[in-house]
Amino acid sequence: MSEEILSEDFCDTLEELFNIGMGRAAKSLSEMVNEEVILSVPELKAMTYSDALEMYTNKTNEQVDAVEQFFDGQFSGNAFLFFTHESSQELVRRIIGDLGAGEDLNEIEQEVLKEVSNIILNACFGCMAEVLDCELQSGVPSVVTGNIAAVLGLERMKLGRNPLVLTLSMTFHLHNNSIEGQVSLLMTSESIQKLVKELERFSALYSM
Amino acid sequence: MGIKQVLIVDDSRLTRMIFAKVISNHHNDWEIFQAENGTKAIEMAKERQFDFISLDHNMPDMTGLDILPTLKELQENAHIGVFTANVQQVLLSRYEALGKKCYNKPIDEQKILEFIKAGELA
Repeated sequence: MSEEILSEDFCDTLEELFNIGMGRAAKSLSEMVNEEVILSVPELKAMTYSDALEMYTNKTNEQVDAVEQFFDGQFSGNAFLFFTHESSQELVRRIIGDLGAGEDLNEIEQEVLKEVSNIILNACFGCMAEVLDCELQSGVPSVVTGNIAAVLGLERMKLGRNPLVLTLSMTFHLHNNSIEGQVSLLMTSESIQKLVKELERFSALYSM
Repeated sequence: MGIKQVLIVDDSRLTRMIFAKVISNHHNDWEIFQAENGTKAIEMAKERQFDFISLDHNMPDMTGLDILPTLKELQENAHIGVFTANVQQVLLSRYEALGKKCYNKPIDEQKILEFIKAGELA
């Protein structure tokens, strides 16, 4: 499926860029929680919005907590960092301690999640921009909670009826806890084509 | 300088490609070998001796820290450098304790040449 949208080489390049971005973010996160953050190997897939929705729904039907951040530049889209509700609660707890929160994310917890996402997503944007030598600006992060269909609702995004999705699965572990985060970029097919052009230009520099 | 043997251990094709390109540009007679995971790296290290080994940390089958002791044992004369996206101090300290320098990704020509130069001076 990925190969139809992005070649294996381009998927590999993006995986490595996200890997570097997540590595940088992990350094910041480890300083926030004061312990080592262990990262899994990233896996990137490119698919249509409807396929992504099906994949996520099969994975979990429960509530997810996500932070959404718009990005714009040579290519644009909406970036999401997803956590299962348990993961986000645990992550927040590790950073600010147990504030006796109820079922819903309170304001402080939302701020923590936004800050964590800001670090992770901007590390990924920054790495893509730096390595591909292009410019990417990011918008203000906002927290979205609910089931996957609600979080990824197309109504508020100007991405057409069936945009393309780059999904990056990467787990990070804290001591004794596994907190799973997933990054997704929703982009129009036009924007993906612009990204492919940047990847082609970059690959040409290093082709043997 | 004579012909050198270089082993690039990294699951990222991008990193292997950049590394190989930079080495070829500066030393077009050097032999370059690539391993996309730790298992293959150990297999290759059993087959021949290398002068330089670039080692990734985060790989699908094992980490750079997992295979470093075996590599050191098999490749006593190789100059081994760790190229990693994971730049947490605790991890860098573990490699330092094993006598290995870490180079932060993304890799570029300057870092690769610095690694080669350090090996030549060692």
